[in-house]
Amino acid sequence: MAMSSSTIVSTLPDAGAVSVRTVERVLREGCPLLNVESPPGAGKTALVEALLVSAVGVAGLRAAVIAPHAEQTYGLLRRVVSHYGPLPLALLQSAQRELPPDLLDDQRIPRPVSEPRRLPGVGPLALVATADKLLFESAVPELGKFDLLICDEAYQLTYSKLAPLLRLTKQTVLVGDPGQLPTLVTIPVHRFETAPHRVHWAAPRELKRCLPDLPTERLPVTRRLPQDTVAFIQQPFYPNLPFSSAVYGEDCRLQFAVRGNNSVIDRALDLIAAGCSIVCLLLPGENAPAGIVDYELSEVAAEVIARFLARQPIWQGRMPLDANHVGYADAHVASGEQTAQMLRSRGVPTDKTQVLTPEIWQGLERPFMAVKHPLSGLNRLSTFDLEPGRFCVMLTRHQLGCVIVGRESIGERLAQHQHTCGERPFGAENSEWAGWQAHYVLWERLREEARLIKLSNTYY
Amino acid sequence: MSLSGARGLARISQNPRCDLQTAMVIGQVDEIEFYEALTKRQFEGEYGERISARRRGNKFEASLHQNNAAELRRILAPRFGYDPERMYVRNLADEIPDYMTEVHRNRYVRMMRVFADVAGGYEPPSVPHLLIEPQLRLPVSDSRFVYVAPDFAVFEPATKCYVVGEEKSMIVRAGSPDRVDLERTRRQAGAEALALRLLGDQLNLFERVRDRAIFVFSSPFDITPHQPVEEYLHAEVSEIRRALERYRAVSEELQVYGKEDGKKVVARAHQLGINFQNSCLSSCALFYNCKDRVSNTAVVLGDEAKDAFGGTTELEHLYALADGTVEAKSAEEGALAVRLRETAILLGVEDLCSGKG
Amino acid sequence: MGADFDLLSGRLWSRRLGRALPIRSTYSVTPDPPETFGIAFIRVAGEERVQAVACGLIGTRPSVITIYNPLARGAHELAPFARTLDEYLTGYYSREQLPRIWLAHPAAVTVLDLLGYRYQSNRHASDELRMMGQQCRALCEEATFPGQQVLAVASTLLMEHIITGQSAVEDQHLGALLAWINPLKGCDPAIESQRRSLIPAAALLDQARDKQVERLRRLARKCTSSSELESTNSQIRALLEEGVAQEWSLLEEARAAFWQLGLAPAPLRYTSRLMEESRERLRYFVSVGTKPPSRPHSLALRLDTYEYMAALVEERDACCDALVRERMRKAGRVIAVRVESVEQPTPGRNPCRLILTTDQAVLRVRPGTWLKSVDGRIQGWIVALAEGAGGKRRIVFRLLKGVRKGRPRVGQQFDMIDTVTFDLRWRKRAVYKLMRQDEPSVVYHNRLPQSLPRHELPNGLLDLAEGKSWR
Repeated sequence: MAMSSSTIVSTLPDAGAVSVRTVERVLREGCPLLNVESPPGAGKTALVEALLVSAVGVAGLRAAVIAPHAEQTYGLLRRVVSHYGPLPLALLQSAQRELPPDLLDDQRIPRPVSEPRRLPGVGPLALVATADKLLFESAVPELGKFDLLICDEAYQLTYSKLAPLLRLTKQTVLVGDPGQLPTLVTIPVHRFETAPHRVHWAAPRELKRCLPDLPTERLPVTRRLPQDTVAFIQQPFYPNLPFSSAVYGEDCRLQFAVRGNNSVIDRALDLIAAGCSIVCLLLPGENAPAGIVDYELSEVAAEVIARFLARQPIWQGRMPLDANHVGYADAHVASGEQTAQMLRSRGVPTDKTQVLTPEIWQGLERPFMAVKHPLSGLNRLSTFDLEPGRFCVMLTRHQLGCVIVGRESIGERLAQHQHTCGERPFGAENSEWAGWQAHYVLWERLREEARLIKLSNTYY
Repeated sequence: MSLSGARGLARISQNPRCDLQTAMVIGQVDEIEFYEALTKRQFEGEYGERISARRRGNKFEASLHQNNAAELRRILAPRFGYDPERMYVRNLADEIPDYMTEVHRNRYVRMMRVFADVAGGYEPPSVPHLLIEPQLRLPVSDSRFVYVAPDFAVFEPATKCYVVGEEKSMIVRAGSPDRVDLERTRRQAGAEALALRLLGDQLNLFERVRDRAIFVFSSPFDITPHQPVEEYLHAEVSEIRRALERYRAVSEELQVYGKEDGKKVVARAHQLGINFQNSCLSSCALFYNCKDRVSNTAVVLGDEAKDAFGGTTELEHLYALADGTVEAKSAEEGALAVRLRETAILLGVEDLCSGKG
Repeated sequence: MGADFDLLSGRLWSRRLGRALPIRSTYSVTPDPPETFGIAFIRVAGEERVQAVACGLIGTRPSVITIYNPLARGAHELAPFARTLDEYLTGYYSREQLPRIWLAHPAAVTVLDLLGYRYQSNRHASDELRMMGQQCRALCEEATFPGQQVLAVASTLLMEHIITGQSAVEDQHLGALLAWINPLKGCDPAIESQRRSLIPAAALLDQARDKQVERLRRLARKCTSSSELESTNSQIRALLEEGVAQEWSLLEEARAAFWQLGLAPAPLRYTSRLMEESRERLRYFVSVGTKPPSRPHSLALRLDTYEYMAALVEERDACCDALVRERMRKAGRVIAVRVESVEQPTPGRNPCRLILTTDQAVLRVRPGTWLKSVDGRIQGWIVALAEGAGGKRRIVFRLLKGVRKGRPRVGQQFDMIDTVTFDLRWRKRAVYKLMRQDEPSVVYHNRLPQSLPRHELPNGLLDLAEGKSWR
């Protein structure tokens, strides 16, 4: 049964009101530091745009917008110039970096500057840069100060990168998704976990720890995920961020031009078409191979995608779907590559149906996704494996439906998981427990809602 | 190393699939005697706590508890907003010394009375701010209990309930004590936190009792205490719950219920399943004995090898796959054989596999 | 199956072979200087206090110091150790060279570190002992840095360089580990390893000796005559000397086993930076102190340094060590590429793009990843990744270094690695200095600044912003 609420329309939280409130709190009330938490697909970049245009275009402020990756800054620039009239924009980036071709050709995009001395000295300004670049230039006097610093994708930025920038600005707004993958730190962090300042943590997370009364706004809806999906992911991945779907049932309907052949896979696809946006196909757990690469499971994943495409899917009211509209997520590169080979052997072009890790899927979306359960095939679940952000990213890329593939033994592994009680630093939060809980809650929910579908070894 | 109380449960929780260890804990066997009875050999390794370590532990605890727990009051008071000089302390070890009969039960009764007062809405100073050696228990059958004794319990104003505490003389350096010691202590505290929760549940205190503990360890300087650290112990409590389930199951299966059944445990030891794993080395006298039992399987190379190759996979089978003298039964086995040979080449020992496959 | 699989299957092969197998082809530390210092301890279990220490230049007879009553205040007995250590370290500072200190195992590091904590600011200790404390802390603080070249912990180094046919937990006992590295002829190393594991190798006396010493100390407290006391103390001394001699032997055996692995040293151009960093840090720690970073700027700088050092280590390994490089290749961190074409409008000048192809199945790179060739001549970043024909991958690569003479030709094949080190700490230091000076209240005082309302703004800000929209 699809988990759609008939009360969505009447009880839909007003996402627009949150945007208005955010702009008012920042610009009129002058809130010095505001944290905006956003579920996936909630329109955080639209909020960033609106705030930037309000600040610079209306209030005449000098503002900077930073994001962790260059691609994110380019995405913001594309949106701002497409959606709004001329703004005093500037792009600060390394001289060694090239703009993508579409931005190079676009006259509305300012030519990047690599040094602050080339920026306009006075007057309203919307400066766009990566966090690293702004940090690098922040000691240069010519950079000056800002009235407002907006940080997009704030949960992908470490506190060590944000903290030095706070001296440059009177006000700061952080916008981010708390359910995503944690920031990448390449060294053991034990010493830093017990330090007075957790500089390796995501910036909003550390600020919330230090400032329990940190002003916060929460975007209340997702415009990407169906309500059925929200019902599954809310509790395990966003326990402190209640949200619902702004997608009406009719707007996220999948239809197949070709009838199913009554195989288990086709029945799972039919469930998705009926509105059950997340379905899990499970191969038997006994005699499952040890290790990350599971050939049989890769076959299942490839078959799911191949069957999806073979049945000529249509996004009702929008468009027919093809290989470009499908994606596959696998937490392990080697395992993903195995599936990619099997997709190619079935004629599915993997330059269109991309097979990527969750780290790369972050920020992207597809109408239909297939994912390999990150715990499938593991006998022992480490803190790394249990990291909930990974699975959260995998389960929040789809707009219509997502098929999870895995081994039945996942449930057993979760139930029998032996917690390591000595690994976490003294006094630190138990992220292994938090991750285990998230996975366990989600698995139980899938089980209770009859979304766990067993495949025999001959599932055709 | 003791197998009683919280320590015994902590041991089971580290390896709940080892029925042999669980039976040893239930039967409260002497580990060395057990080893010698089982193996018919003298135990050659080192066993038990060093004199100096035990002395330090006693000294540390004494320094915290002397003068009406003056030092413990001093370090805990700021955390809870108390005036250390006005904290009311009860020491159940003083009230009911160890030499008395039914010590655990009697101390537990007193603990229940304190908790009943708390449930009745009493707060300090009507109930103690600080309890030294409170007694708690965990049920292992309808009529049997494992008694656990936190080193202290302190009343928290915010929840109007007690939080258990552990004192250990291990040294905190760069923010952390030794990992193995920390794990053991956390598990013990988990047993105590669970016992407190069960007592609280009996008295409808539910939400007021949380799965946490306060740890007082030592600084590097003599026996000066490090500042207390509070931790949530959800994982540890979960592990202890599982340990209790195994305790009950093995107890029923073997019909062993306590110390009086120690000989029965010894008699049936050979029939009991083991679960050899890395943590056995630092916790169990039978490590090498059990290692012998699994010496021809992948698990002898460690937990990670067990995960990669499968715990019951025989080493000879893996060599035969790599040699090609045995056919791979699946695509994965075929890939495994290839990878084993590749590693042999990488490490310069390709002569070890004849590569017939 | 990931790269770790090689290490796991390495254990399998080591077991079959009956000896340890090297898992690196180069050493991770530079060769020992002509004079290398060793320290071996016997500690009091639980207290972690020194009751015996053997120290000195390795290859010579060590100085042995025993302490009758290690729990007493004022450990003047350690003064000879303090002098010997200081002499060694000072000699190396004055020659601007890098000292090298060997310890047997992590337990010895703990004892050294605690010695440091207890003496570095001890008002009751002499200047000499306080200096000893500072030096011990400095050494242990330096040991936390990836790639450091000062403190060599034998068991840790051995485990980084070889794999045995037993489990990793058993390897942590140095004696058990050595049984696999230097197996006895005709003896199964697994059995010998088990035998050796019965002898403590963690800076402790064996239990029997330990009990004896404890008994003798109790006796000593009750002695009524000086001759009786001297006799008791000399028995204590003899037991401690035996114990610490055993630890010193273990240290020497482990060090010898390490250098007898016969691996190649990494080229100087990859290790000189690591050595320089180690030397400068040690000098700084000894002179300024080793208070752990606790403020945002110092923590941020420490994080940057750890990450930079880890990147240097990875770069060294990927470029110099064939075995490590192959393991990195399986993990997708090293890519074998072929140059398919070159796009360079002006020969010898920027911009220059290479179209590279690889048929490696596992790639852990994406657009934006920096790559460089193993020989370091070529460096740049990935502009785009695409599927090519026949399962190959096509990489559009923006070349930044190697644009002129070293520019690869079409058809050329080479390895590229994703570890490209940039030392931006010089700039970050300036940034952090300003942060420290300005002390933003949010960062340093967990306090929000005052709100700055703008009453003059018109109503309906968002509507006004929307009014600028073209949608």
